[in-house]
Amino acid sequence: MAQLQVDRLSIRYGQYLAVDDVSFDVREGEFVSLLGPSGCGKTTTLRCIAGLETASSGRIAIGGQRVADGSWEVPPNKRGVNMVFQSYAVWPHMTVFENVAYGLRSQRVPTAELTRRVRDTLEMVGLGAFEKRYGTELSGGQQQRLAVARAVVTSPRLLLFDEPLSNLDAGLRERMRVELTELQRRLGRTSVYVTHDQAEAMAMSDRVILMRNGRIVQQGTPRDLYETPNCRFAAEFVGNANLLPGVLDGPGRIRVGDLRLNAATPASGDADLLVCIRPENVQIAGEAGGENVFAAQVERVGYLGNSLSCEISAGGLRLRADLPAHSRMQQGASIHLRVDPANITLVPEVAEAAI
Amino acid sequence: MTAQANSLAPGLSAPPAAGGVMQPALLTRLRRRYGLSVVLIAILLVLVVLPAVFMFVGALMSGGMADPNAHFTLQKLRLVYTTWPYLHALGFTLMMSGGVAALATVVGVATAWLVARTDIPRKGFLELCLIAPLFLSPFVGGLAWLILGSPKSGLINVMARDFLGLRTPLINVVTTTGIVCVMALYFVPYAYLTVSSSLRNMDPAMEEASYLNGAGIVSTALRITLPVLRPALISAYFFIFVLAAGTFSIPAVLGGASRVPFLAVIVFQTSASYPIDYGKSAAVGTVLFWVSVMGVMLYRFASQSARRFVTVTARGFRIRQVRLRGWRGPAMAVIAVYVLLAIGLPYLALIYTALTRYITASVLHAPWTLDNVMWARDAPEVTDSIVNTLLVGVVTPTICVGFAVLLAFAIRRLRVPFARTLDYLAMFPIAIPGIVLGTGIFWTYVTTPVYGTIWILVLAFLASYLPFAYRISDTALLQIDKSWEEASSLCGAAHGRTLWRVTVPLIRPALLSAWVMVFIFSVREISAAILLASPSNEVLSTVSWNYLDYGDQQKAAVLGLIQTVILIGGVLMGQFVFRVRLTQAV
Ligand SMILES: Nc1ncnc2c1ncn2[C@@H]1O[C@H](COP(=O)(O)OP(=O)(O)O)[C@@H](O)[C@H]1O
Ligand SMILES: [Mg+2]
Repeated sequence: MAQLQVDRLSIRYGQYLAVDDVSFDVREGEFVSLLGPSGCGKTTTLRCIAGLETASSGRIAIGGQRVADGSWEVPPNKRGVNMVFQSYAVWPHMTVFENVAYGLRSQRVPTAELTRRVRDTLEMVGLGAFEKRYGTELSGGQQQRLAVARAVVTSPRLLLFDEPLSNLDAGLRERMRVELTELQRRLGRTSVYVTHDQAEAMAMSDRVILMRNGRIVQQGTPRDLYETPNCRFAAEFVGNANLLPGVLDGPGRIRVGDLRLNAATPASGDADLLVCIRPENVQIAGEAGGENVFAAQVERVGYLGNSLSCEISAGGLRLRADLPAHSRMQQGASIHLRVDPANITLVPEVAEAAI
Repeated sequence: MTAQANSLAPGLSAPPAAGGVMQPALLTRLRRRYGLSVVLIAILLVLVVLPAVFMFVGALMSGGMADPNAHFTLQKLRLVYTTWPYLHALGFTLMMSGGVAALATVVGVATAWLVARTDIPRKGFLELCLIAPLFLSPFVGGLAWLILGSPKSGLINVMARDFLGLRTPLINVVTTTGIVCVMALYFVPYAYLTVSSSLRNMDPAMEEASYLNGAGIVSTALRITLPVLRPALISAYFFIFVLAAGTFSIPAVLGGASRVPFLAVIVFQTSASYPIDYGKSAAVGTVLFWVSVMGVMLYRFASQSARRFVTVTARGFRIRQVRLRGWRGPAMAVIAVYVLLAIGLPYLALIYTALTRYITASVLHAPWTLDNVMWARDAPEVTDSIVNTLLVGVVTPTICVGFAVLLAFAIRRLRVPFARTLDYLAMFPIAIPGIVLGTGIFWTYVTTPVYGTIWILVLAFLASYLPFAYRISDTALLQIDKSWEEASSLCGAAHGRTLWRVTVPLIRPALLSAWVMVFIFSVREISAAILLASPSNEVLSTVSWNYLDYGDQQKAAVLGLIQTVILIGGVLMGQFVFRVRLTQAV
């Protein structure tokens, strides 16, 4: 039995469909991300799971218990879920200790146990020394930890995160991401995590749900999403991709511009398709000849330190290739490149219109 | 002049390396800079400081300014500061103002929460209703409540007798409690506006986090919303406290010093009715002044900590609205009752009174008449007071806003020397209640030809409303990009030209709303006007007061209604001609 079931959820604001027929499950202990560009309905979906937003239609069940069915709903304080807000929402008139204790007081936890649990949780997020400070006397990173402590201390059936790292600056964000992932592994809480940052989603999640315009585009493990995107949007949003219009020549054989390549993944029936080649999967071939080896011209080179970001032309096409920095590629050089058939993904072009 | 200016700024040193040729030009410029400061400070000293000083002087005099035998004495201050009747009045004033502020704040919080946080329908309309009393006159409201709720002849009691057969009065507003309640009615909008703007600035996620931590609606409102709003509540409380303590109209209409020893009323009565003692009046004025100063200091302290408390908000429109369900009816009823008490009943009563010949023992046999209306049409006294009211109403805001912009521009943009002093002086009058200012102006100008003319009222109102106009202009200046003005200066425009051609047009909406608000304040003002009134400078509020004083409620009501029509005209003009949002100006 899944810990969270979202079934055909739609949320409408007037004429505008913010969330359109979204269904997904989250298993016990699983960490799932809702990923998508800003405005695609992630927050709205999350808030609806929390009970802060009312569904127009659809059902939500948490721990097998129905909490929303159409406009019927269990209020947020009775759902047994907790959330880390984008703005942290630390209460400024309470100390760090009181912020964390608040939820336990609502549950009428006895004082001794309450004190122990609050202290343990604060210790765990590294705020043990700050329990007497007021919420507003903390730095951004500390407020973020406090928000996490406050959300986990109540042992919610479901933990929700709404872009918790987006208000931190870059360096801190990286560190908090690691900390959060570690905490998550330790606690093993069932979590739904909203973010528009694909790196964050990939690094933290067991499963990623990719959304666009209020709908789910694709869901799967980070590896699934990266290696087998099911449409142009998925390929472009998750990592970098060369997307080239191609034609199916035969089983496992495709024509892209003037290039003829072999692909390991079987193409779906249609003849028109997009060929997805990740820049880092383009390798330098020692010599001409061999499977998927083609001649190319280096048009532009960008030095990134750990790699060279090159724009190349081959077979009348332009594509990006990330080549090793030590290859000392020069602009205008003629070289031979190779792409492993396993690294060529075929994406149906028609899927685009429907999304 | 140069020497004087230099001595005023000992800390200022000329830029080093200024060549000998540059020196004279630099001096001229310095003189110009100081020149402006000196002129502005002089105007402010005369306008706002002089009256306060003269009030203290008056409190130390044994007789009036024109009295050749008058000498300095501490007798009046001793009387007022140390003897029981006056200490009692002080305690009473503090208590009543505290009560008014508490009541108004509670109603303001409740209504602001309902409008901002629940799914109550027709929010825009409700908000308009809650703010409307701000644009009406408390004096006229007090008059209406006297007509409605006096124990014997009050319309509510008369109707209770007529229709319910009650033998004892249903309500009695001519009591301390009654006065507190009626005053609170007219201060609710201030609390509402302060609280609702704080609610809008508060991160709604704080309340949502409380729900997710298992707290219900009531618990969240009490344990999260209220405490987070606390600094805003405290500042609203003291703001209303200061306004209430300085309010003359309602306690005077409903009480009179004999029953309700309210300082503002005593100031008036000791200078208007036998035995007249201007010195004592000024001495009582000084007590009220200190009360006000204390209130303003507490208010400033609270609003500073309120600013520190402000929380960032991610997205304004997202807030889980509390579903009222069955409570929708009662919630609407709360607001409806307020509107009925503050606007509905009072104006019905005024209209009824204006259209009847005398007060009757039964509304069933009301002596209907148009005589009062005809009288208002024909009496030269009424025409004169309308003209005077409009004159004061137009001249005051025009000069006030113009001067305020100049001040704000000089302080914030030109960064003239003594900017802090100027700022303090401009804000100083918020600590001077109208009646106290009236006393001071009286002492300052009683021996000059200005006294007894309409211009004395303009002077008083200018000082009273300068802080308001200045604050709005300053805020507006803060919000526009400085580079517009810099561009103009770089193009070679002089400061005056920049101010007139660039700055003023940019902040026009704010200035227009300040103008309309000062218009409204000036038209309805009574506290200072009543102290400075003479037959040649009557305005609607003072004439209405006089008729009420003679016991002619009918004529007082007609005049109150005329004043209200002018006020509504001002609001409509603001709304539809100037297209300003008045609620943001307050
Ligand atoms: N209360 C609301 N009223 C109207 N539109 C809303 C409301 N809440 C969200 N929306 C709209 O719904 C869409 C999805 O918003 P959101 O869920 O916040 O996106 P995301 O979190 O993915 O960036 C946006 O276009 C937003 O403008
Ligand atoms: Mg969002």
